[in-house]
Amino acid sequence: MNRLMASAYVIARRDYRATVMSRTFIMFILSPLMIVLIVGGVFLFTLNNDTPQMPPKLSVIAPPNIGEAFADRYAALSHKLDHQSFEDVVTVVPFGDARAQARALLADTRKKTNAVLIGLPDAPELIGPKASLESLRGGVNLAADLARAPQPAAAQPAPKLAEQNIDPANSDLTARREQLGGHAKTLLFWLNMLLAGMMLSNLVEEKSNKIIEILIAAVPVDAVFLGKLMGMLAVSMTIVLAYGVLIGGGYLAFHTPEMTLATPAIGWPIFIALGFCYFIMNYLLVGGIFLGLGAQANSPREVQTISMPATMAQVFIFVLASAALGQTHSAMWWGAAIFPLSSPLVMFAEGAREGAMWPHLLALGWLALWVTIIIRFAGNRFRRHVLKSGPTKATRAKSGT
Amino acid sequence: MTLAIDARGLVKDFGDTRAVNGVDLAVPEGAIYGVLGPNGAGKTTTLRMTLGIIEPDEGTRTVLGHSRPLDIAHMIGYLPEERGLYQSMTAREAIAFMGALRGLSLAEGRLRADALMEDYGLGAATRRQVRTLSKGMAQTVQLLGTLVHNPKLIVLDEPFSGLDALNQGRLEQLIRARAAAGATILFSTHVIAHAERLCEGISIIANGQVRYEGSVSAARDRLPSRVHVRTRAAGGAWQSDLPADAVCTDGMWQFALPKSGIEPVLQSLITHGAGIETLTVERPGLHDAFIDIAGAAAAEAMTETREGEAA
Repeated sequence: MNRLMASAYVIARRDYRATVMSRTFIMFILSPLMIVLIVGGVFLFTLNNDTPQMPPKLSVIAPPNIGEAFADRYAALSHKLDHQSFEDVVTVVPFGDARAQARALLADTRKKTNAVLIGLPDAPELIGPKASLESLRGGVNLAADLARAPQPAAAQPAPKLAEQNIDPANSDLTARREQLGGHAKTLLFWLNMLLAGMMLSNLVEEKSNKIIEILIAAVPVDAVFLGKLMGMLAVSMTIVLAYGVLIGGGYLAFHTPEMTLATPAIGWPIFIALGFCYFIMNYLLVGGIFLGLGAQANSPREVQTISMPATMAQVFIFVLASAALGQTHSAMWWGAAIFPLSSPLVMFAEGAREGAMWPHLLALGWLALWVTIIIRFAGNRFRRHVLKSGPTKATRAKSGT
Repeated sequence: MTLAIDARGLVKDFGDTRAVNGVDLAVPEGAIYGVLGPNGAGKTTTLRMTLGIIEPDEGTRTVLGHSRPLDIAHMIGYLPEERGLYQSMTAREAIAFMGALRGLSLAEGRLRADALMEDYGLGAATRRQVRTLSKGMAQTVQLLGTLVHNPKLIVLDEPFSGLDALNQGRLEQLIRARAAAGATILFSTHVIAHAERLCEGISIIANGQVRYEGSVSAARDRLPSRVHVRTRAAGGAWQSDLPADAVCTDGMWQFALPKSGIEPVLQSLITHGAGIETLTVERPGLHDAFIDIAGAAAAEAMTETREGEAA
């Protein structure tokens, strides 16, 4: 076992260095980022264009007369102070619990509600994301005060404007966590799609350059298989770390309130750790299968032929996982959570939604079992095909085999 | 005598064709041993089975006393017939990597690579990428990578092919030096001259079977010496005293040395006044022995094919 791992390490180390220390590796890392930047740029551009057409609103939950009194004062102030830091005011008739109603209003993205004012006239409370609160509190406070002034109780000191800072847009935490889970699943899928595909062509160089015979003359075939898998996993982890640092750093530096992600139910540190674990499992499963398949190819052309159906299968699994996530804990969901190839996607998303740790331990154990099975199975296939096609039929015919 | 390689009854089928049909190979420790055979004879498959790269369908083999050659990979060096190196590696890294595959540390491998390249007069190419090397240079780099871990057993599959005469000579020197240092060398070739100059023992393989196994001189002794005679007289009574296989080309008679020796023929030539211009008795070279052995095998293969068609 020690010798196997030592040999696998020799293979993995060469693959890692050959991949990471090549000039094309920088291009490989940067090319998806270019796409992200371009799409992001277009997105931001359209966002800026949209803003003036659909101005955000300040909603007031109050009986019509009180709401209108406030709106009048607010509009007058806005007029005098040249519209700075003021919003259009909409009065909403109270219905049930005012805070819940406010959250619902904020959650409805189509209404573009920036903040909600409740509790007029005596206990005004401004609810909304931090940025809105900061820009609105002055004007709202003044207008609320003025709207209250004509009343007999004016002698009393004006009540202080209470504030409640809540996350913007979808304030419904469950929905936002499901959304995060969806993003997580998509991210995992794309990373795997991008990185596992390399396994298909991983053996072509050795076969077309006849290096394979040097390898299998010196080390067990299993060591070649494991080494290739480990080497490319290490390459992928490097890429994921690079992306993680770039994307994470970019997010922390430039994110706006609208972009803020919900905190996953299981907490960020564990969620990220789970992401790594599920990525590794997913990569080993798909990569192992791909390596076994790719060992049958003798030329880049044959790899291309194999890669099309392989990609389609991956997309199919992604679609399956997406459909399953739409119906949490349905039969389909359970099926996708148990099926080893979709399980990492589904379970990673589950980490955003549910706080319990044990399902993940169970899932990782289950996946580890499958990784073992696949590595053994694919390793066997690999051994057969690598040896069979070591000398191709053409070379055997012309040489002294 | 300890055997470095002891293979018995090796059989390998590829689909319907039997590539190797019961080959025995006994290579004494410290020997330079050659496997000769025409292209397609089964040499490479025999070497691969011996080294455990492919498993024989039948038969056994022991390499340096081990039945699983991969267990002692660090004691074996192997140069495959199909040369291959990672194109983007430098010569130095390629040699060190091949050493690492056989249990050497990378640092030690690099040091030895530098020294080996320097010794071979390729010091300037040490840090060049393999893709920029000439074919012969790349082949030398691979050979050095095969030897970098100082193996006790060195197996070279057609090591001379693709090398110019100068480099073939250097390779012979290198093989002799390694053997003098105690290594066992087994190589295959279809060029008889190399085997004749280098080998103590040879196996001639044709059609998947060993046709001859033993020393080079014994192989040559298989054939009788050849006699060449040129006479001044075009013909005479002496002609009837020549052996039955005697052939005359351009006034030169050739025939195999008769069992009774050259004397009776000589006697007749002198008695009948043939006028001997030249008379030579030549011991046959390995080349003649090889053609005799491999040619016989080819003839046998032809017969088998005809029988197969008839059946």
